[in-house]
Amino acid sequence: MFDFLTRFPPALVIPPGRYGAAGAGVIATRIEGLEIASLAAAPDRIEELRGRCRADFGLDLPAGPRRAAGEDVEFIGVGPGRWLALGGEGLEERLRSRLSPAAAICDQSDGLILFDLTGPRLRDTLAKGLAIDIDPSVFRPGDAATTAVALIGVTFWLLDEKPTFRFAVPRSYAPAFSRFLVASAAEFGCVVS
Amino acid sequence: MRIPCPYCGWRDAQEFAYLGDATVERPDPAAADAPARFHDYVYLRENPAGPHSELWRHSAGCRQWLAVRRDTTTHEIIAAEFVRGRGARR
Ligand SMILES: [Zn+2]
Repeated sequence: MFDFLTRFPPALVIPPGRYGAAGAGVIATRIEGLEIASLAAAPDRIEELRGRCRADFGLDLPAGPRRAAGEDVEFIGVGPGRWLALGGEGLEERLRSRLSPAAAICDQSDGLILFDLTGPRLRDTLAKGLAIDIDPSVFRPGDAATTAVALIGVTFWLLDEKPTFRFAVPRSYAPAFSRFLVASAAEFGCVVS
Repeated sequence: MRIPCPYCGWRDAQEFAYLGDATVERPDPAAADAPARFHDYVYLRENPAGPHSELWRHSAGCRQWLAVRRDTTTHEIIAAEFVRGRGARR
């Protein structure tokens, strides 16, 4: 059934197109134009960092695996005292000028690729590779998780109840991730845009 | 087997890297009997049937070290806590 995968070089992300069954059970869209940075609180300065984020970005840094969005910046909790930040152009400098030295800031824009995934069969598709519960009763909009999908380390979060999941995938693993996704969604119909 | 990470929640054991016994303490290398103590520290382990304290790293999740209390006969997880900060609390 997945013979079509052999048409694509394994080192490249599956290109835009329609794959598998007719229909659009899963829709995958690569997100470009967002900058990404990692944020790690300096030892013993986490309260100072929280205060600065409140004052300068108008948001509370999530204390757990959750998303907090402010004006032109959002933070995703990935570990104790550690976050991913996403925003428009100049993100790293914006973070550095306001949060350093309360946090170590490192640009990740070249290291992570973002995919927005949606569609009526998305949860069925992800269930083939995820070992955590993403049922709407327990994984709510704003929730995030750092885990493995098909043994590929990812961070993802739920943007809305549609549902739209946004995945941050290490660049060198993005081809493998896209192959997992397209192969797993093929029975439901997969649209890559 | 699933482990309740204090940050991430319940996760499959495959997400964790196992280091081993969390009860051994590194001896003082300046002690007169340091070679004998290091031999024990490196090689000697209890092998309890029942609750045991172990170090696990949530390598596919939050990347934190956990001290996990696990029953070796049932795989029941009795407790899991971050190792970071434990020294200060003891
Ligand atoms: Zn964790």
